[in-house]
Amino acid sequence: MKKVRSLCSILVLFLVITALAGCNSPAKKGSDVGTTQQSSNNSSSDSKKTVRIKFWNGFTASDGDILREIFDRFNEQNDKGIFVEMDIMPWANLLEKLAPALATGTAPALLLLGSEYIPEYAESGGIIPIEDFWDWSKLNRSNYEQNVQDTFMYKGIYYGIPMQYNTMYLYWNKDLFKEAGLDPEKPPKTFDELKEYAALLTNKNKQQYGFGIATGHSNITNFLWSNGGDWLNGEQTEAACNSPEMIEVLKMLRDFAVSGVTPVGMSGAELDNLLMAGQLGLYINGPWLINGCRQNNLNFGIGAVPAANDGHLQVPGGGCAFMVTSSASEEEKIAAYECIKYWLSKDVLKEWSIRNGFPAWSKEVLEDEEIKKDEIQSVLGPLSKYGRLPFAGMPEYNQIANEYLDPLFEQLMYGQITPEECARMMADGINSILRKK
Amino acid sequence: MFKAISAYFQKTETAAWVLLLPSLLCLTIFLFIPLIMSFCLAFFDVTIFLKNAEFILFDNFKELFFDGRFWNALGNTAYFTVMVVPIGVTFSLVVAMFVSENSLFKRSLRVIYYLPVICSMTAIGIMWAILLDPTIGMFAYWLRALGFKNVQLLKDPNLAMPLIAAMTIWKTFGQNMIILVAAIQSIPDEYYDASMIDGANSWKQFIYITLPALMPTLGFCTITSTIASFMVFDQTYVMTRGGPMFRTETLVQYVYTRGFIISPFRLGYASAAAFMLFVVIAAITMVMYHFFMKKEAKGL
Repeated sequence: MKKVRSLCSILVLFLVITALAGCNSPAKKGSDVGTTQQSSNNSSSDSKKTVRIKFWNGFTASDGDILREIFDRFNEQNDKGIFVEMDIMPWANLLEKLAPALATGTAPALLLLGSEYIPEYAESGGIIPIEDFWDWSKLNRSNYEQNVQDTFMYKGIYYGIPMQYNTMYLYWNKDLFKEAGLDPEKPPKTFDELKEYAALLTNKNKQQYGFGIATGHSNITNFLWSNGGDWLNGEQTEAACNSPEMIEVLKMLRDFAVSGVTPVGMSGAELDNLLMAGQLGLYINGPWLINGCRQNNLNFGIGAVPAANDGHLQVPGGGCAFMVTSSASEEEKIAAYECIKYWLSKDVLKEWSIRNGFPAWSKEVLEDEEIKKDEIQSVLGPLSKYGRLPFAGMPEYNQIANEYLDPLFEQLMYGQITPEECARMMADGINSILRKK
Repeated sequence: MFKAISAYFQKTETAAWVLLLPSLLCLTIFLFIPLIMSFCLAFFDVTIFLKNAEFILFDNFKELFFDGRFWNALGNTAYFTVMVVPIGVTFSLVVAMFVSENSLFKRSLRVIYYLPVICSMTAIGIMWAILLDPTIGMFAYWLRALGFKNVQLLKDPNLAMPLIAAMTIWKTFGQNMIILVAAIQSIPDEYYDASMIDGANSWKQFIYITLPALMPTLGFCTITSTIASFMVFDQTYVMTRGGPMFRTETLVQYVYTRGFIISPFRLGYASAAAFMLFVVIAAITMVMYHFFMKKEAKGL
């Protein structure tokens, strides 16, 4: 019995020591002691690397494969001993993980985020000013479109270096156009044409929808500005969305749901799949679907979002920027700058535009002959001027969208509230948050 | 020296503490300290970045009282629990009665029924979300083939929660079934033999012997299932993310949303909501515990 007890005691002590040994301090930041290697399978060059940085982004579609390929190449080619560990996850998951990671100092050094998140994370100190990048990199700043750079500014300070810039575009399935007796080279140009085409493209027996409207208020913005309305007044101090222009747009979107032209309650990812499966006639989204459409051999067209009946067009624009988080050490920050500098090279930007369809935003790339001849680029490039950043410079954007705009838009599409109620409740919601400022 | 240490550890009381130490350490670090900190946070207006914390006493609780989304989440959680616990435990009991014999066939059935329990809820949730998808899902396809129109399934605000509850019952009933099988097998055969001599049929045997004997186990299953149901998160998060129209947003998901998703990431407010959940679960557990204790004391 005594022997058993002694044995138990020794065993328990061993377990405690082992457990405590597991709680040792994490690897020194920026050292060559890395964790899991997620970006590349190139382990042979691994031993030479001295600075490993984590890089989070939400490029889960086929564009992520290209991004990964580009950074794998960076890992192989750079002579600074930098190794990028890329972690790709859905944007929603990234945002959920980011706040706790920043709070605990475990966020990645490098991050890709949409411009709309800059105010929120700049205010909380989660991302750091990146003003010194241009001096450090010695790149010719004037080569890059100034309005694109300014998209990632908050209170006069730059927090992000643009990775890409885009607006929203209309995708259409040319095969479904032919089946419906429509000219596949002539997409709808106005709201009225959109309604007409969407109805013709709907075939309930085949589970085929004429037009896809995802959950999320950006689907309202796609039409609201063109229709002459806006979310906020010019000073961004009060809601301006309880307006006839807004109600008209909400009625149009609601009618699409009632008539079964669009499925209700679908996320963007679900509608992406529907488009790829050839079950969606018309769909508004960013350029990130181009590569997926190509890979799925979809006979598709891409062009401008339908304008208001008077021809006015303005759609949400924005993009993604490289940001450096407050968790990054000085060494990691410099490594992150090296990555950004690599990205801003003509070859990489051109490759991204050609292979992925994103409109070029560097003057050098825009002048490139191959870019000029590219079919997609020639269509998307001129559309950039119609883009505008929604809720620009507002740290409350995320809260407004999550608390009021998205839930109320969902209620509208499910027929729980009328367009008039929706517009009024959205305005009240926005004002309630703005008054707390 | 070694002898002295050895003698010290050979004392029963010391050995007990030593054996308890690893669990106590883990519980203290990962449960008790966070629990106390979470409770304290409920009295502060503080974000996840823990900057500029302001002591506001009961303001978070007052705000919760008028927060429609909190009450909606509490209602959804209660709705889920009301569906899952009675149906789940009853179903487990019925299946347990059927598979309690130790034949090869019934033992195999037990293994099959238990399989979903050991699978990850996330993986199962993703699988069912695909199966129940209104456009590409298998169930929607079958229902349309049978002539049903406008099949929305998980996108239907009235159907989403019952479907998640049904999936949860399917996933978890094996757990209670195994516990009940063990309890059924421990009832002495003599009780049944004696009742047969007295002319009792199978139904009477079930009502007057099996059920009273199972009452402590049923109480255990009901209480643990209720606690688990009130803490439901994985399946609603994976399958619907709380939608459509917050109809499947549960209390834990609401806490998570407030603390980690919606800016400005109000950790204090989320902690207050979490504390309310703790109070609700504790109250219901105590009521149920007393109910089953009384039943047990009365013999049913």
